[in-house]
Amino acid sequence: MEQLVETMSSDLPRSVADGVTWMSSCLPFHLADRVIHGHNSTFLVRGESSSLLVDTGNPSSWPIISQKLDELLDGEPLTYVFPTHPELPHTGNLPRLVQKYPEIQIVGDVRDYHLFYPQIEPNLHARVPGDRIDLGGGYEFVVVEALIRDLPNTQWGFVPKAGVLFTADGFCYMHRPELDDEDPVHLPGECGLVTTELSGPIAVENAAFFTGSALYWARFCNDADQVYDRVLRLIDDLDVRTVAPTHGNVITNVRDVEPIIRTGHQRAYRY
Amino acid sequence: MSTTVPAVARPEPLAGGRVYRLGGEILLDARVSWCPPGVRRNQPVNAYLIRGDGGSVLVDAGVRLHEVEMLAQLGELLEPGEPLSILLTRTEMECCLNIPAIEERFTVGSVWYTGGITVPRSSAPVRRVSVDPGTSREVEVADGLVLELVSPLLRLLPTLWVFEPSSGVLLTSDAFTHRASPEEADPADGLVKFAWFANADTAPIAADIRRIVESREVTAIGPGYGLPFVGRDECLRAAEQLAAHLEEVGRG
Repeated sequence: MEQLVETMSSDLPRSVADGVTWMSSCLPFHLADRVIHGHNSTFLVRGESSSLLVDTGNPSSWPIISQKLDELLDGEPLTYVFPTHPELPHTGNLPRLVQKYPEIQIVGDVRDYHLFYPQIEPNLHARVPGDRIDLGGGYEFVVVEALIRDLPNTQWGFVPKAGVLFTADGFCYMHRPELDDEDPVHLPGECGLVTTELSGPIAVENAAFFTGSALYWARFCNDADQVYDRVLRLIDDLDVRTVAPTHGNVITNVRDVEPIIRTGHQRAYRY
Repeated sequence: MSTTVPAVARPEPLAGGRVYRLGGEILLDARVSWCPPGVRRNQPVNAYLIRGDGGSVLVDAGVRLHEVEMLAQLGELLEPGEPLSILLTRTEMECCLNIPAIEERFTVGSVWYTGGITVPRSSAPVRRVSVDPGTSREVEVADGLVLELVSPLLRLLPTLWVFEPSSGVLLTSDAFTHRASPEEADPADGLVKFAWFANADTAPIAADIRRIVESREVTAIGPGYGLPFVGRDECLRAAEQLAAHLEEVGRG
């Protein structure tokens, strides 16, 4: 059924906000009657003096990510990488990034990484929510507490000048036909679209399934309103204009999408 | 390296040698996400080898920090050319990163995993197995070696516990990880990564733990970190203490 080769849409990389470029290598699943995909996104943030990559992509996507970084950075070294949390789609290329850019700083909640990748220990630099990383030219990357997460050492990030909030496994959703997987998938042709470009709104059941599976705790915590009220306050406080999840299309109409994700989260309870 | 402490020198037999505990020790401190507040001590990080007549099954592959130890321990236990299957209790980082190195040295026939579409890097065929939470199923993971794969409610991400029926060993991945020494085992110490329990109805999760351990002849509990619990009475006691603690911290 599955052909596990990651590819990047010809629509990507694309700029989704000032200084922010979206890359995503998708896993295509070949079903009997159609092909569906799952996003594993990485985002390049460029200031005038430095650059930062949010999440690393899966190891199997390294060749295309490395190639696109060469093109986007025009031969300049990548300055920072911010792995949102230690799972393969988010951190699996850290050793290769260090090999490619020996001076790179791995920033964020870097607990555990010395156990997983001892060779990158010198590159680890712990950051906590509220820390700001100056990228030059008024571009900053701000570390933000992850309000929706699975692993405890998860962080979100924000680029104030671009208004982009990077939410890791938060705000993820999927199309889920006859699959028994637990990751977001979407139809071909949608890979490089932002939510306002999609042909229809996100289905609540697709948000519910992602939440109930990947954010397993939602099955036992009846706290969706509490969680998403906090998220909305954060969105207001930061003046978020774009939400960039790792698994799912970039969200450019967060006020429309948030109620769908919230309802999906509510449905995941006792799912 | 400052974070490395002396590793387990030899694979440690459990349940009469049907199952061996492999891996090494880490320094459990604030740089480890599952470390309880204020704790600084050594902690084993475990993988397990289940020996069968026609081959063996490695349950999890250890952290990359212990790659050398894992390879040495497998080399001590496996006959040259002996078929080896790998079964991952989770596709999290502490379970899968040594797979390529193991594949280079040993004859890995298949890699079994559960969870999403992220397949650990492997040149051996990968076999995805789905078990509904709260249920189990028997799977012949290697020739003649049938294991019961239990999908527990106690988890963060897709997780399998592994029950080896002939020895009674239950391998519990990231649960029952709280035993620091033969005398010291506080269930709270193993639940740091499950902070969501404080806002959850934990009664079904506690009941599931009791049911899993009480309904099987569990003679040893082998966690992914920490020391094992050995003996039927000790396993029952550990399950009851963990379940009771879950009920206490949850709102259920």
